[in-house]
Amino acid sequence: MAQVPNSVRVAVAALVLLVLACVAGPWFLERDPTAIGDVLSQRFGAPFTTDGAGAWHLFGTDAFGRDVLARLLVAGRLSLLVGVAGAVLSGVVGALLGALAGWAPGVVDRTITSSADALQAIPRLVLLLACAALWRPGIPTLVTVLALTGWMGVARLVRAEVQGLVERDFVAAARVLGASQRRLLLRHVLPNAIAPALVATTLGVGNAILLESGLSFLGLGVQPPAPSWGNMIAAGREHLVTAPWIALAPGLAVVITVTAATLIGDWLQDRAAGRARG
Amino acid sequence: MNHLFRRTGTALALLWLVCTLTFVLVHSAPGDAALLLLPPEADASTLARLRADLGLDAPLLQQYLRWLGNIAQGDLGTSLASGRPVTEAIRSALPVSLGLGLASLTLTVLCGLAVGSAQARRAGSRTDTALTMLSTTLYSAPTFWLSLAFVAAVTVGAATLGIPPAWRLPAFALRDPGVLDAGAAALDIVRHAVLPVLVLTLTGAAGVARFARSAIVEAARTDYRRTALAKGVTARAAWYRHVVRVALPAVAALVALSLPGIVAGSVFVEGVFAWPGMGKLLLTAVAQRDHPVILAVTLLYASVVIVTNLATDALLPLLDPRRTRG
Repeated sequence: MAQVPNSVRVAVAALVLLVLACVAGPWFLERDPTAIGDVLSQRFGAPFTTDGAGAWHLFGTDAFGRDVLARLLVAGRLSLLVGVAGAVLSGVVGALLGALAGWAPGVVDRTITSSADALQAIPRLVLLLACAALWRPGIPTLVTVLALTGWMGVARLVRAEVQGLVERDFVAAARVLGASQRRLLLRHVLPNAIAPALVATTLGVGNAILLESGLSFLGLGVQPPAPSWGNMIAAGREHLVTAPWIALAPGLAVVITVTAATLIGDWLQDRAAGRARG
Repeated sequence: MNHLFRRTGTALALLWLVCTLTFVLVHSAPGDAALLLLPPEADASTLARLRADLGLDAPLLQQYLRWLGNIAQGDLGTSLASGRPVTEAIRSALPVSLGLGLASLTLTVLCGLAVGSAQARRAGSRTDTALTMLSTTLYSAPTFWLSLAFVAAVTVGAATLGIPPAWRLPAFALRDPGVLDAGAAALDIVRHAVLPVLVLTLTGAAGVARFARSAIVEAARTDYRRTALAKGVTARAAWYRHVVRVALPAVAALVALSLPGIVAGSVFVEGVFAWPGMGKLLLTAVAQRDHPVILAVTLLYASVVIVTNLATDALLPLLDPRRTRG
């Protein structure tokens, strides 16, 4: 582990801290992040100040007097969940479809490859917006749509890997030994083709979190009063100059998470490329 | 030539596939245009009459063929919200987006290449690490949030530092065309375009710089560069002729590939800065559940991407010094 660059170490540490805070933090909060108390005396409290009711706020309060930190942590649970679930699901769908395309040349391969080509021709955000507009907004829709629009890259990678592996001697040996098609694919080919898919999925987490925040910002993702980083930024939009901390805190949370995920993904990709080069 | 012919055929097939896919997408969603147009308390007979008027009572295959035929003739349908032809809305929105996109794309490529190659030159140095951190952060920041941060900064800056407040406002010449004469209108648009172009360039250039750096570092490892140096080519000439020049096609391909991303960024930027372009048109249509407009904008974006990919495919070999035409 000596060659791990410092930037990646910092990224891992930041990500672990952030995830821990979001997962465990809300248990230690005495305030309900969606409950609204005495709005007039509690709203627009600056960071590090005490509000009218005598409560101290690290990150200040929003337009309804709710604690920004409490909302940030609860929102983080949703944003991270949607991001990770969206990326993992698109990784799984991509790996399966890619393996199928690489394994079965002909109609199956052509159908999967050309669907991937067609989906990739539409900018992902546009496709997401169109889907989000057509179905009822919410977390299940969000995760489904993220998976539906994100599987193509992984599928392409896995397909190429599988096509290379099918020719190899150990696959032929297993086939001669009488292994079934299913066993050959799932036991001998797919595990060897999975490394690039894992890297691509890691890189996809950051992207999915960004897209989730964008959709929630537009009101098409997580619906208020449930907080998400995107809809918190949208709520802070009206108070950019008078209470900048409302939009600043969730924005920084997104930037830190996505930067860390990208740094780690980049490093994994470099390592995989280095190993392939020998 | 034969190759180009085949590629064009593939591109057309792809376009048809995108059309089919979007059609399936719209028709797999719950509800239809008639339900959206009528108030919820409308009775069944009104609903049936409207469905018949809109042709929604025909079998799905027939609807699909009619829709495809209309698109082939350049008829993209009628907006549910405004009742006007979709082509009309696109005709006024497209130039706005194209202007914004081309200006920021040019700046993106220039800045991204300059920063990326400067980083590759000093790969591993402290400047390189700092610039990598900066570009990764910019690349990871939500475009809409960055836009809002600039709006806030300019609002405060206008009050304290005398920054022109016009920067954060939409251009009047775009909202009410014809009020100003041509020269004043152009000046007005340029003045108001500063922030949108800045945000798009910052996020776009960060991506290009990241890729250009790794492509150039990769090209610097090659044996032919070492051979060139051993033969006595100056370090400078070897760098530009054998490294940067070789990495250029890869960067050009990336710019073409990143086009969908640039489009996505412009959706948010147009939304935040209220620019009446394609992105804003799409956002409004999404908010109003205006299916024909959503479909048309999606198709248009897809055709831009497909045409760019085709063009890149045709032009890329001309850029690559390692390949000779024959």
